[in-house]
Amino acid sequence: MQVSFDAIAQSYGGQTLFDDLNLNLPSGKFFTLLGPSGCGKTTLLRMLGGFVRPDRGRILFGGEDVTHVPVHRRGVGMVFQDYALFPDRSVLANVCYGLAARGAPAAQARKQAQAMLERVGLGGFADRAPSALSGGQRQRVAMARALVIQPRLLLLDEPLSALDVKLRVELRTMIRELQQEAGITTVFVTHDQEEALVMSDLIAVLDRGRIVQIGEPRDIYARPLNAFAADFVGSANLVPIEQELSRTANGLRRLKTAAGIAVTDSAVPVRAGSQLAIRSEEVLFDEPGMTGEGNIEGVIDQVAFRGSVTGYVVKAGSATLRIDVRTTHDGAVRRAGDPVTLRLPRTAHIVEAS
Amino acid sequence: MIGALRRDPAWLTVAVLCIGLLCVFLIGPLTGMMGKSLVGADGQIGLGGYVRFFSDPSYREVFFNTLILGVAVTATSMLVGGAMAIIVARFRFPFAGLVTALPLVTLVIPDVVVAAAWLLLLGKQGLVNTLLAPTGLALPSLYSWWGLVFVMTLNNYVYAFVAVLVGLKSMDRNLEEAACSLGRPIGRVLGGVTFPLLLPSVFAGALIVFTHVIGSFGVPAILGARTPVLAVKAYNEFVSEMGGNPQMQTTMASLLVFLGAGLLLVQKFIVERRQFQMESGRSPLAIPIAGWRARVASSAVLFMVVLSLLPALVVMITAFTPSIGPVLRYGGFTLAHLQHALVRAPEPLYNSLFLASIATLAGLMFSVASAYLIVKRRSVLTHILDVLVMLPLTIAGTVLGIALINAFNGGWLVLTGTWIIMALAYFLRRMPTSVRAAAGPLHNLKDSIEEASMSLGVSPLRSFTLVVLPVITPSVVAAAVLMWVTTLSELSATVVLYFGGMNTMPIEIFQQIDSGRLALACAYSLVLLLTIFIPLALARGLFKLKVGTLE
Repeated sequence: MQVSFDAIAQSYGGQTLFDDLNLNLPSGKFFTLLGPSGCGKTTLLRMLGGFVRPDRGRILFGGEDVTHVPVHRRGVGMVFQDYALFPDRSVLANVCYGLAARGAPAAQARKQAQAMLERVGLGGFADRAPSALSGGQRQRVAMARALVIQPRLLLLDEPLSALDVKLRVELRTMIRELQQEAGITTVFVTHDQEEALVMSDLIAVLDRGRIVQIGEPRDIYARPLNAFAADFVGSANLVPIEQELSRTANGLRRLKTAAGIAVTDSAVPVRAGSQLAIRSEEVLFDEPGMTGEGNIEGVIDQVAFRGSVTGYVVKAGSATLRIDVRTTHDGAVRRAGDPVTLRLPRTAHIVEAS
Repeated sequence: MIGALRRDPAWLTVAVLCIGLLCVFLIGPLTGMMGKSLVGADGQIGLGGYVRFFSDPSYREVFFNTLILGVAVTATSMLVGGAMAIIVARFRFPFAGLVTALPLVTLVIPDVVVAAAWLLLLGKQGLVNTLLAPTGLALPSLYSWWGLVFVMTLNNYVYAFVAVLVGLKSMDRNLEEAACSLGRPIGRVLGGVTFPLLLPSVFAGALIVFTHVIGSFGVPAILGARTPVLAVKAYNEFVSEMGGNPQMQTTMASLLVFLGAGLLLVQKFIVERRQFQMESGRSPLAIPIAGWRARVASSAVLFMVVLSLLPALVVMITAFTPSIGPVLRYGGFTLAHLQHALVRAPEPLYNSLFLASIATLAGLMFSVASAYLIVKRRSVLTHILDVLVMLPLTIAGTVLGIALINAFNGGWLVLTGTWIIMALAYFLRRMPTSVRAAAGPLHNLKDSIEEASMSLGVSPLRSFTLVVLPVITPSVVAAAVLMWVTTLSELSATVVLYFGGMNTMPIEIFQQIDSGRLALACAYSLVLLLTIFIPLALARGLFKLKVGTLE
């Protein structure tokens, strides 16, 4: 089922959050609303659920206007950040709850719920109380409870953010699998870019009530539209572009930036305030003194050894660059104060100011 | 205005119903009463009543008596209760745990019973004076300022104690440790850090006590013949002026409303502004003490607990003591008084049980609905409801009684002289506490639980009954028990509203004291004590409910 926001406007206490927001979520896709807190992603999700009614505009479920349909008649499944399991009911009773509300015979409801619990790997936990489960298990129950009613839309409100890192990785795989099995249109809200990149078919990056960019994960990462998207997804170095120079011999564009002369294959025109987004993991240390295209000189300011990766902060020109390099144990150890030669990537992307 | 309720027609209806109910039965009568205070005997509209009140020395005296009594009892209660809270919270010594019984004791022994018991002990013909008689010595009369302050302090110090104790327990230990680590001596830390943080609790406790005292009827009516106060004087005017000019009674009742409203404003704008949010729940450790310090602390606590429990003991003994007229023969034993209270004239018991049950049932439904609206459906409308719901806390029972009887003795709805008006007064007086009790667990209940239920296809009202109600049930039942037992001991509104054949237990006790039959008063008191104590004990022991506990 395709879901649409149509000309949505919403303000809180005189502050405008959305002003004429339009968004189409294609049927059967895993769609992520990504942005920092306060960007309006949760409000959009709650509009789909029916917990928030927009001041203006319509919400469409497959062409049907549901703007004024109350929550309990929308047929959506929702998973909450804090699990929201009914504390006085067993795991099985939690999963049966929605089926009972739909008038399913008790025996059949129990069978369906049990099957769903098996699917999420909690077949043996049916009689437990929610309080006797771990956080990850609780969220599995919440997933089962939301999916067992075969909703036409699945809403996930930061379902992983209360869990520790290991469980998060495990659970996001399961959520993605379940979504694809059911082929259900899913909206996922998160501020975690890694989660968004791993799980989504499509990502919408939100900044203060505006949609900055919609696209597939790789696309957004490789070609962010503006500085906000570049920085929020994958935390790029944003270096001010001072001037565009003549092209290189092999046709790449040459840019005079605050860090030095850089080359790029980006096709985006340079405007006032344009910046070059350089991914920290794409910058390399080159032989000292190399002067090829894309080489710049700098001085190491800080070193942070993080295990498999070592992070450096390098002063180059008037810019400061963050660089992540795979840790090697054979080469010379670089220290703060060392002069270095860097090779900037050609894939560095020109973005507009946000 | 209606905020989130816009999406929710069912709850919007409930909110409008609740507010409407309070407008008709609380705001209407109160404004009507204030209106009447502006109408003179000749039908002239003006402040004549208030002018007369403050120019006539006999009325003015009543006003100042009320204030003096309020301030005096508040001061002594804060002193006794506050000191007890401090030693119990900060020190560990034998018998310190006994204080946890105090709130229960206050609940179980109604004010009027306490007054009766102290009359028996310290009154003119009381036990102590009888013992002192051969020596020629005599206690100062209990019917005096000191008698009033003494008995009312015993009736009220527990409120001060609880308020200060809660404040002390919510104190963050880290703050004191931080202050000490910055090199301050402990004495200056207590004075400079702890005490200022405790002030809001001290004020809150003082306000509760003051409001109680200026609105209280039973004890001043029994002991205050020479020191008339507003609540009693308004009642006397009401009794003597029935059918006559109601201006002075409504003027005095209105003055009490203004006093209460003024205090509420003080609470809202001065005390609440100064409330601090504590960061962590680590309350300061109680320091173990030993030797003479421990003995002093233990005896102080024991003394207060015994003093608080003494009325129950006196009542129990006197209920079985033979009497000839007002003269009691201690040492003897008779079941005549109890037989009278339980067999010959048990109507007051039935009436009390009936009225308390009706009022509790109504209060229960109303408080659950309005607590839910106030906590979970925030909007201007429910904010108004919040204010209205808490209003009865500042209104003296006598005042409420006078307002109700003035509003419903004619017009479209006549309730005067029916049990309905009594149940209504009980409902209004005790409902605020129940709303608070129901609101507590609702604050802790995450909104998402209800939203989950709705998203699974269950309507808002059914979601409420299916997932919210089970969570708040224990607190609500505890609140119901509390409402029921405190209604059983209600006197100050009842005394205005009751009519022939509808005597309640406290009324019966009050009348028996008034006519000098203290043994009978004690028999009824004993029955009342047990009627209150048994359900409380069952609720706490059997069902593990938190009724009359310190939390």
